[in-house]
Amino acid sequence: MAFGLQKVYICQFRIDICEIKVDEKRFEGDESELSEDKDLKDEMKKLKEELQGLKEQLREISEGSEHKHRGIYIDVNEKLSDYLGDVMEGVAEGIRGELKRSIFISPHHGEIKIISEEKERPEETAKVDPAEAAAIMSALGHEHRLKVLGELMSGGKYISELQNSLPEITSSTLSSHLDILQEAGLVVQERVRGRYLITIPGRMAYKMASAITKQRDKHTEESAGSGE
Amino acid sequence: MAPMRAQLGNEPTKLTKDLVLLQNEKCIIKAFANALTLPILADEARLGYIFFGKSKFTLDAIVETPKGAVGKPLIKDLDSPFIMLGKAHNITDDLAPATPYDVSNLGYESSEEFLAKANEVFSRFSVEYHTRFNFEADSQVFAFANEHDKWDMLISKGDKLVFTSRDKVYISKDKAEGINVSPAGFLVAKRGKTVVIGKNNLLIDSDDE
Repeated sequence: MAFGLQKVYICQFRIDICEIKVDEKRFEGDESELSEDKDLKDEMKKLKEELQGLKEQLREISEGSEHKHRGIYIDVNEKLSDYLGDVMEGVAEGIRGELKRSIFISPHHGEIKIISEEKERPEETAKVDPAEAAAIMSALGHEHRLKVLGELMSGGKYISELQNSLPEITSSTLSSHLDILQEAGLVVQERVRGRYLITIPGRMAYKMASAITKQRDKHTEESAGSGE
Repeated sequence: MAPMRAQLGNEPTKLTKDLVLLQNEKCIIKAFANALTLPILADEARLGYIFFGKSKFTLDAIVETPKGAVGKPLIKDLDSPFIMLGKAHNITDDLAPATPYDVSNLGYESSEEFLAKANEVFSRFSVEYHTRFNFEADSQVFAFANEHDKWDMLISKGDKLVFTSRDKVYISKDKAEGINVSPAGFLVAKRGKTVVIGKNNLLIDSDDE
């Protein structure tokens, strides 16, 4: 007796019947070949019934399991649940946004691929606001300001410390550079202690400038080496 | 120490000079000369003061992470009443009885009117916070009436502080530990690990490696 494979899958995350499948074609083929064999027909009927029973059982397990998950209730008052709802909505939005960019679910094979950040993210590039980006690039576009960012990479500093490390910049010019960097969100000043700190975008901008420079140098060397 | 029920005193005083009520690495709260005050009393103990007049509040709601600083300073010039609990004895030397002129200078026709207003503000605070305080000697609580008829709260103990307002929560434990929640995002930095959740980004960082 050659019956098709009877596949029963249980999803890992949600207990459910994903597929209960009898290979109908092969089943039908066997049936025609053995049409005279009444016993076999009966056996097949029995198996079908068994399968039906299995289906029912799995459904019960599945429903029971879901019910169990839904059965845990935490009673919180309205204010707290509103607050948690708002916070979690924000959290979920952030995570959704990130996942949208980094995970791709193939419609054909159900595979989940993690696309590395360094690889193509064309949509993101297209979304850049040119005016905003230009303002940041403009803040970056000065040797002194890059030096200031470089100094702040190692930690927050008072203006006097910056002056000591960058004697080539006069104090009034330094203040003006710091204002520009603050305006662009690359640096923030503590108002209580007065220290200047580099922000996350500031670090990214400095690293980007450094990476572009290194890449350009590397490319130039390679071109020179290949005689271009 | 058992919790105490508090109430306002009934003799208005005024600040004789500008006074820093709280100062640490992250925050400065300053009340300006001529602000009117009333003591907050529990039995015979002076728990704190309610202030009416000009004040300035500066909070560096910035968390430093290995990836860069997040957050920005919050600076408020306040004209609305606020409450200070804790370290009340620090200011008693800088208070003098308020004259009818001092009271009218702040827009009240009489001391009675001022007292009525102060009690109304304090009872609003009491209803919300139950006016039962049981805090350690070195901690301070500040409650600033905001434009939404709610209270922005700042709790300080040494260099540790917690600030909550309608749209911001900031907790600072020390240089390397902090939590910052605002409409712009959510940040937790603790023991070299940082989680930042922005509107459209997520950063999880650890300097363990």
